[in-house]
Amino acid sequence: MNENAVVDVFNLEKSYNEVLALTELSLQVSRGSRCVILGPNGAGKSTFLKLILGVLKPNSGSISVFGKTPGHLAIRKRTGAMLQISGIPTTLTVLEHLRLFRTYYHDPLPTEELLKMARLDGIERRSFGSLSGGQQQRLNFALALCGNPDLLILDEPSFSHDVEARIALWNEVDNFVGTDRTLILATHNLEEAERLGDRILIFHNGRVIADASAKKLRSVIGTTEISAQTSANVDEFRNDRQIKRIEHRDGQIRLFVSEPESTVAQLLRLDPHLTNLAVKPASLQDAYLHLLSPQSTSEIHSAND
Amino acid sequence: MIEKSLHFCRVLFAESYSEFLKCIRTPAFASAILGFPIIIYIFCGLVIDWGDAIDKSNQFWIIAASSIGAIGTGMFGFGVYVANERGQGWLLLKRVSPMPILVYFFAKALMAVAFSLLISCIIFLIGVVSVSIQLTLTQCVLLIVAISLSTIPYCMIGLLCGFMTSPNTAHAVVNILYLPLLLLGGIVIPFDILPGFVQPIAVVSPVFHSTQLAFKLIDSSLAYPTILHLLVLTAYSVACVFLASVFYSREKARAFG
Repeated sequence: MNENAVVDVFNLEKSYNEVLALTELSLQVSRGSRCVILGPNGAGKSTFLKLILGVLKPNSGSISVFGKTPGHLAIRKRTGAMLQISGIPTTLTVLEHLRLFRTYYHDPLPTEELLKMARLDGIERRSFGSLSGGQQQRLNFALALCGNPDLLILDEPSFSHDVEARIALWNEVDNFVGTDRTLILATHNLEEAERLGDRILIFHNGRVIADASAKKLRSVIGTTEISAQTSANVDEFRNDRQIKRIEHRDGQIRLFVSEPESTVAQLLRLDPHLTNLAVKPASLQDAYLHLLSPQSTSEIHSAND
Repeated sequence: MIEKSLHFCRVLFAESYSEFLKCIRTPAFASAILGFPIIIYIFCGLVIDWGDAIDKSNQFWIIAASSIGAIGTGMFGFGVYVANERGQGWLLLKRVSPMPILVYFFAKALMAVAFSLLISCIIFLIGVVSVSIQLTLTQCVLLIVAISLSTIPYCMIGLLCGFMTSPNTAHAVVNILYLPLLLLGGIVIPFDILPGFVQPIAVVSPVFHSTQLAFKLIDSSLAYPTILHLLVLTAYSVACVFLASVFYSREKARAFG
């Protein structure tokens, strides 16, 4: 076992009756790493988080957190979790919720600091029920930070946040985690994944189909996207080895390449009258969709790159 | 050890205080739980003239209405609340925190007993003010304490209802169980005037034993010994907690998400 591993999973399997939620899962999350879990609904993301938190037990395989079995009191003291829940009592105020949660810990963060970190100062005397969706999520975040955790587990933290609030939350998570704490975050938001994660795990049908940095993931479909409205024959590019992926619909072509210059030149040669030519870095979204597409046979496992 | 105990007490106090705030800030809930047994007492105990069917001293309706309060508080105020919070994920968040999970249930049970105590006090007060109930102060205090504590078995029955079904249906299940319990337990209709074939069923119901426990405090000539009532209520409580934990474990293995 890696001494530096906060979470250590080996050959884990979890099923609900006949439905397989996770299978053949083996991975380690090192201290100080920021691990983001992506995947479609039902891919096993929340199940994985619940296994780490000890509220679910695996059918087989092993999982340990801080060297102990999940759910152990010593782990719960060092872990903060922000889950997708709707049942926070609505009649208690922000301050009352924080004061209550602080009593659970022997050395909690000061209330003022929590209010500031989650940007709840000014609304601390308002009842939970009177808060907007984003503000409620911020309280949920503050509750996760109460015990000054070494391991922060966030399940879709920016859900129902507006753009400004989302960016602010990312900054807060970034500042809090720093370099010493460990982050495990499940999300559908690829921008969030790229912003907060140094390691991205893509879950699909209960398996990890990719485990790498965002940069490495993008390289699977080429590092650059060339798009244009053109009448050029797409087949001309089929045999070009450096083109990783071609999409063509209604005269709009998208080429994912590692070296864009020669491809752009070729495109212009084939159709000098093309329009809307754009060259930009390939997005994580493109890589994500490529990996999840039924045609894809790619799997990327290079977490230590 | 001492530090652990102090921490436990501190969390229990904080949880109980939060429960108290939640209750008083939900007037609809509080007034329904409080109002129903009080209305039952005023209507059945003071307004209706039962002739010779029920004793004139009014003791039956004081104990019956207070017990209805204890049963409702336990089953609805504890059981349905826990089921709702479980369904909405609040219980999950508590479980992953370092809070001793027993504190969560203790605090809720404590609040249910406190509510029950309040209901009993109000009913006894109305009884004292309205009619000359033939009870000494000591008897009144003993009855109020006994009835309030009898909330606990109903908390456990409510807990089982909350865990044996999906959280959303817990309220309906408790409703279905609540009225038959009151009718069969000899509490709405006194045990002595229940039809003969119903009496054996009433004898095994928890309501019969919790009310007989109270009646025994003022009438030692009653047939069954106090220890029997205590044993039956304890057995119900233990069985409900055990079954609730079995259902909960099954649900954990089944739940997807």
